Amino acid sequence: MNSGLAAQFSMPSCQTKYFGELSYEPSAVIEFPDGLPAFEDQRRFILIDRQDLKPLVFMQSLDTPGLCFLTVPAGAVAADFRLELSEEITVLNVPRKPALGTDVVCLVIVTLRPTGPTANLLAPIVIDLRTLRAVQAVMTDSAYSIQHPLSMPAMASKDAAPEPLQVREPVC
Amino acid sequence: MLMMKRRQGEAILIGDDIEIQLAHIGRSKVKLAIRAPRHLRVIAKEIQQVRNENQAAAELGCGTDLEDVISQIAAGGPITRIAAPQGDPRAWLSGPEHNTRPDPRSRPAPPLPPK
Repeated sequence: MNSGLAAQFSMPSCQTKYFGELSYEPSAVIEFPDGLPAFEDQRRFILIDRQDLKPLVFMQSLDTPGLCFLTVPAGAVAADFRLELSEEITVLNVPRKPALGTDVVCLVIVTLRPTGPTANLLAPIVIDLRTLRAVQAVMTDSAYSIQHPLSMPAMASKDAAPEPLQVREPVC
Repeated sequence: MLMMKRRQGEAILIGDDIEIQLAHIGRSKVKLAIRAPRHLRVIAKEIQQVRNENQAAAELGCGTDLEDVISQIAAGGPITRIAAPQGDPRAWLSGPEHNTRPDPRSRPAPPLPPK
């Protein structure tokens, strides 16, 4: 999309898994210096969202067009979600208990299963908002589930699209 | 499973190339120092779970409720935003009117078909 705009602003573009070719602002690139577990060589992603699919956020790899994680803000899954980063995480320049929405954006990866979608609350994606460096932070001391059940059947119905996960403040 | 008792500072050897030293004993955690050949992946066990989960997540959309949504996405519709999460990030993740580069050719999203 936006090939005219892309030329006008000379923005780079990439192939995406679901959206065809997209142009993006270079400042929108999220960098994972260590990649993600099982995807250690995937370092650069962009985040894509669309109003009718909120609160879904698509995390598209810039290195591999076919790799796009479906995510939602952690706060949309668990309103009282508490993020505590291990001291072993050195990629982010944030407090160990960063403020969601101020210091960091916190997204959880959704896995689609035959039994229904689940969210990985144990290992959220944490993005430092100042540097846009990110890490998948495993919260080993937490009681959060790696397969937290999500109920999103409303996503497939047009009337219920805005409230599938009941996003609350803060949403991050 | 082999069980061994070790004091702080003591180590065990696995074969000739792997050494695991009990570097520090804290109140609720112990710190291990591990020396192993570079080709061996040394990770906490829960990281292996995360690896498996990420691989499952990457193989998205096989016969689930969201499959229709994914096909809708593939069919097109305006992208509201593909900008950096700058400014007020709360707005970035909650308000579609923020941080949006207006596209004169944008059109409303097609309604999702009833299930």
